[in-house]
Amino acid sequence: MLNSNYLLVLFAFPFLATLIVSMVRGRGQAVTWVSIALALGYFIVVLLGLTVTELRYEATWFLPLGLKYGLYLDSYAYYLILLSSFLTLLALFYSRGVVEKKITAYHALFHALQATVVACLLCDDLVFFYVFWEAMLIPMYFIIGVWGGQRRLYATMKFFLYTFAGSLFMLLGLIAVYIYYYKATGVWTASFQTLMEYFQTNPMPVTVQSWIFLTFVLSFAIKVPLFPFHTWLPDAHVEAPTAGSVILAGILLKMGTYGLMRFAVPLFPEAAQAFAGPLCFLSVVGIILGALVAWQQTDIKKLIAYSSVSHLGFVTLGIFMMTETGWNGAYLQMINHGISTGALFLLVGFLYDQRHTRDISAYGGLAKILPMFTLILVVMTLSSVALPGTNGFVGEFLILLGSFQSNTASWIWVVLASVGVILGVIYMLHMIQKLCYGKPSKPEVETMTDLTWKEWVLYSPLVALVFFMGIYPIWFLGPIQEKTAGIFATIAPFLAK
Amino acid sequence: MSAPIAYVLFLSFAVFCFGACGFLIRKNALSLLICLELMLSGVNMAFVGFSRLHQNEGGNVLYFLVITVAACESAIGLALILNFFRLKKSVRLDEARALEG
Amino acid sequence: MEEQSHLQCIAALAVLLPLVGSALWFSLGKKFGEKFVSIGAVSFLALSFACIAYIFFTATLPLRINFFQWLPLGTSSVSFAFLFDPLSLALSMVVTGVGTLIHLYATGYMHGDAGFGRFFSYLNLFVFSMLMLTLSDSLPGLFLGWEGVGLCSYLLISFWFTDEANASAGKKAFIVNRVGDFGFLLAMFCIFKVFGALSIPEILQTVQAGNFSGDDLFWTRLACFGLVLGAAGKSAQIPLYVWLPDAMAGPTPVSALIHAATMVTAGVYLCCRMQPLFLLHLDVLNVIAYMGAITAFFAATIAIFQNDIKKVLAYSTISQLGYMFLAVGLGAPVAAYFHLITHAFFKALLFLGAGSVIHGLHHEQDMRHMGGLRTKMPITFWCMTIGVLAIAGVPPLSGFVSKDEILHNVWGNHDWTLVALAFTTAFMTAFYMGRLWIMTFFGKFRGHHEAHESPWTMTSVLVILAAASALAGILNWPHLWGGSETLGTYLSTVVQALIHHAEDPAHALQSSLTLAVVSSLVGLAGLTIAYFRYRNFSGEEFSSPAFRPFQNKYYIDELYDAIVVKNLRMFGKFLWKVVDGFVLDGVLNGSAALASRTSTYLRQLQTGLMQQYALWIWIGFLILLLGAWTGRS
Repeated sequence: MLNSNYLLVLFAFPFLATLIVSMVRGRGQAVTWVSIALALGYFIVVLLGLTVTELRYEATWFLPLGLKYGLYLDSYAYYLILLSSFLTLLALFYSRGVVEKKITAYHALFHALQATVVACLLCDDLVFFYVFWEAMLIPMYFIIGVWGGQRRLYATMKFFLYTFAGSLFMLLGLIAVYIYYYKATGVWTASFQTLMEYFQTNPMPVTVQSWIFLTFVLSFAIKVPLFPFHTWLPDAHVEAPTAGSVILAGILLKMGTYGLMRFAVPLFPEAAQAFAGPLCFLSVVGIILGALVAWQQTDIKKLIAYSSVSHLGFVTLGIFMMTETGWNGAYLQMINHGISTGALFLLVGFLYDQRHTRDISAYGGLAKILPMFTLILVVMTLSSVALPGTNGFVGEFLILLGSFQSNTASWIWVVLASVGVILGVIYMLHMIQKLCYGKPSKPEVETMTDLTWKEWVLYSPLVALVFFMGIYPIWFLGPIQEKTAGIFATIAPFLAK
Repeated sequence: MSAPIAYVLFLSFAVFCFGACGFLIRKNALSLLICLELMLSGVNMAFVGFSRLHQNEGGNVLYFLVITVAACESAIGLALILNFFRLKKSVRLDEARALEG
Repeated sequence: MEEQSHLQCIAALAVLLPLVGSALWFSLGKKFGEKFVSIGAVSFLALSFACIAYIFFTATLPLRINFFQWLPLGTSSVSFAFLFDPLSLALSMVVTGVGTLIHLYATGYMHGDAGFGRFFSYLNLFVFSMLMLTLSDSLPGLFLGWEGVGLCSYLLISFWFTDEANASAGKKAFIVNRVGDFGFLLAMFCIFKVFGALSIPEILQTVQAGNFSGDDLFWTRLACFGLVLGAAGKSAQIPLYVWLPDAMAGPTPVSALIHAATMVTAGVYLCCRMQPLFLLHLDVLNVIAYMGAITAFFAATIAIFQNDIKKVLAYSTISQLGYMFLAVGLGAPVAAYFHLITHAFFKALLFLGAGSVIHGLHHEQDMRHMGGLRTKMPITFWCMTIGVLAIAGVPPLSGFVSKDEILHNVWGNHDWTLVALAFTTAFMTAFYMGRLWIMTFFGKFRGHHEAHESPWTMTSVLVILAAASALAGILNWPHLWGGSETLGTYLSTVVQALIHHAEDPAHALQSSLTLAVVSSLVGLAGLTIAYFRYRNFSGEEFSSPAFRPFQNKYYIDELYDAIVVKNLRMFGKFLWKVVDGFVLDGVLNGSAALASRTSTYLRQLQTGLMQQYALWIWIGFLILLLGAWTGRS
């Protein structure tokens, strides 16, 4: 049985990995292999914790102000850590031989990103949480800014400033919670768990809740991104290197929805109830806008980026409608989106590496030339459009079905969101048709090569997961359900009947 | 019989003001350093005066602290000026405008 | 328990064989060649058929076989489970039976195609999805099959993907189907809201127990409308029928299996499956009846003016599906189901016959370039003749019996609009089928290629299907005419009829015979007129502008394009360029620009002169001093 020392390992491993990678001397390939080995090692370490339901670790840091070096692991955090270590491993493996520039720094930054993400997920302390929340931006900033495309400076500035500005509001909110608790009890504490337990029995007045809730939501909404804060995402995705896009879509966006599920709603259930209507509206607008705009894109990466806006709209809808089933679906959909969109970005990267263009019209007829590539692309598309039997369906179906039963906001939102299911097919099939069907229009297309062993190693676990999670989702949903039930047991009294 | 505290304070203030005004109008970096020293001396005088007034050693201790810091400061300042002179062949401070916004 | 696990294996085998096959043929098709794939694919399906037949003959119904939990839904959950009852078994028999035949046929038809393995992979996957659809005991399970068949239909329509038009047709089919699926999804949400469960037997049990509040009835009504939308999408009814004619871009065996015999009947199956729910809302049933009748009528008017042999059959399929929905709407699910089964036989036969013709003429589909094939392709000709007579409603072929039963129900309902629509459609059906038959097989040969008869794999299938089309009427031969109504008795445990004829037997016999005579006369009249009109057809058609709307399918595609697709595109562009690009990014970049402009002013304070900074410090100090002095108490 694992004890709390496991948490320390989980926490420290990626930081050490960053150090080790950045100290490796020698030619490029050595760094790559060391880095991949470390990522694999970490993935295995994370897998060891599969049976864990809840773990705590605590050490005093600065007691007068109630700051503790506290770590807390539950299934909400665990599966995101698992996803993060998995995608980082794939992203680094993909980068082997693709990235030529400053390899050491590149790999070190990915490990650093992993470290900050994991730290953020594990932290039980307001201050640490905020520090790592901001720290996450820094590796990503460099990854886009150094290895990005043509307009990388614009994109990276926009990404950084936008998300950073949002986080500042959350800092205000965090400080407010911190002071409120001190005023109410006379004790300083920065532990989320303590705060959460306290506010369950002594809820704040609704007006106070509302203000603090809004600061949290603003910060998380920018990260998710929720309409109308989503415009940084397409730019960042388009300019980011492939591996960066995978991590950005797969993990960083999930931190926003995770924050909502973990902190914003459980801490301020009444405020969440009060603002559910407008927030659901924004989610639905995001779903429909994302889908329609994705349809108009000629840049493949932009198309997928907008599809992310649409998909995460489903997740936030599921969260703000506040039903247990919807939350389970929302959590699963976070993982699903990481897998399917991560895979789609890898696939686009595969095309880009061969032809150096992301313009959809530069391709066509790929099904003839690259049949196996097309197969994988179609599978991932099906997952993305939520075909039953794939993971996407389970997530979306649970979200919509759960939300429809909600008393929190009107069921009309769910109906409108379901329209997004139709629109999803339109843009994804549009992409498939333009890329894969028709005759190979350009002579350059004919010389492209199909998947090699390297790509098979990359894609086969993803494909396997798509179907496994689609057919046997209980394996993931079991632990998630318990956690959700725990949260709802405490917030249920504040929800509309 | 000692001088009344008001006299001491007046002298200290005067020295400080000489230093401050000199700091604002002089161009030569060496003069500026000297003016800084003057300001510190003015403050020191006040410390010593208060120490006498209250009959305790707090002011004297602070005096020693300040004088040590002043020594360090002028050492660093001189080193800076020396380097600046090597660079610009002059010790006029208005030539050091690299930080202009 | 022993019995149960034994049946569990067989049921799993029946469903999984095609799935495994699908993966096998896709990955190994190229390596092992056509022979391996053809024998494998056909034998897998035949085995699957045997498994279903085994259950059909041995199991006590209804039989529920549970596998494992799929979706946890809070208080309840959805499992992968099969429900074997008369309704699902009958359709599964048709699916695997006709499916096996069509697989066999396709081995001949697709001979030499580069994507041979891929084709059978998709086809097997389709059968798997279709079995999931029919056998699943929960709505999400059914939906899995429902979307699965949609996917296979998409893949198979755009099978020859190098032609952009095929790819577009496939896409259109998928998208229109998704519109229907939207309704299905919504129906599931509403049903879950009322019943708290998605397992079909549970739902139906609760429905039969009755006792609903007004609120519940609102949701169930919404659910019914959702299901109707779903059924209309899958079964190509108005307003979602537009995808089916385009779907003919796929290879002909696909058109026969998916777009005639099995997949498109899924909507009818769904409506029969959920019949108790519909019985709560008779007005929704009425909507279904009118939807069916109008679709039947309109599709028939279009079919008359088509020259592509497959398009005629496609519109004919839509029209026949309309009949089935008409029957469902009138509360005669047995009639609908009966027509579904006979239609599966004779429409598969017609499509495969057409495929044989197309194959023989080297992929010529235009009937104006056919003619006189009677002598060149005798087996195809005779089989097609049986098919044409069956669909036209000539006694005693299967089509006559099943259609007569529907007409009988329409007549008994005393809604004269429906009666008029149904009978006119019957006449038109006979007419356009006669036209097809005569243009293809009679007169002079107008084509460019030398025609030849198809290989035995194809013709043998035609013969089997022709026999089935001719004889399937026995399945539900009415009591009044000395039959036993086997199908009706078989299905009576799951569905119920709404119309009860309280007439005395002698009178009933007389009226039913009158109706039968009238309906067969209508059919024969249609055939006769077609014969005289097209006997000497030489290539030119009606050219009156009055017919143009029919030829252009009432411009429905153009209408949808102008109203829905164009506007959606424009809206998307608007959202992208204006909302995202102008408003949101404008605000963002505007505030960034504002910040940078402000800083150009402020930075002038930063002169770089140390003494100036010292002066600022002094001034600040003085201000503080002044403040302290004025603020002293």
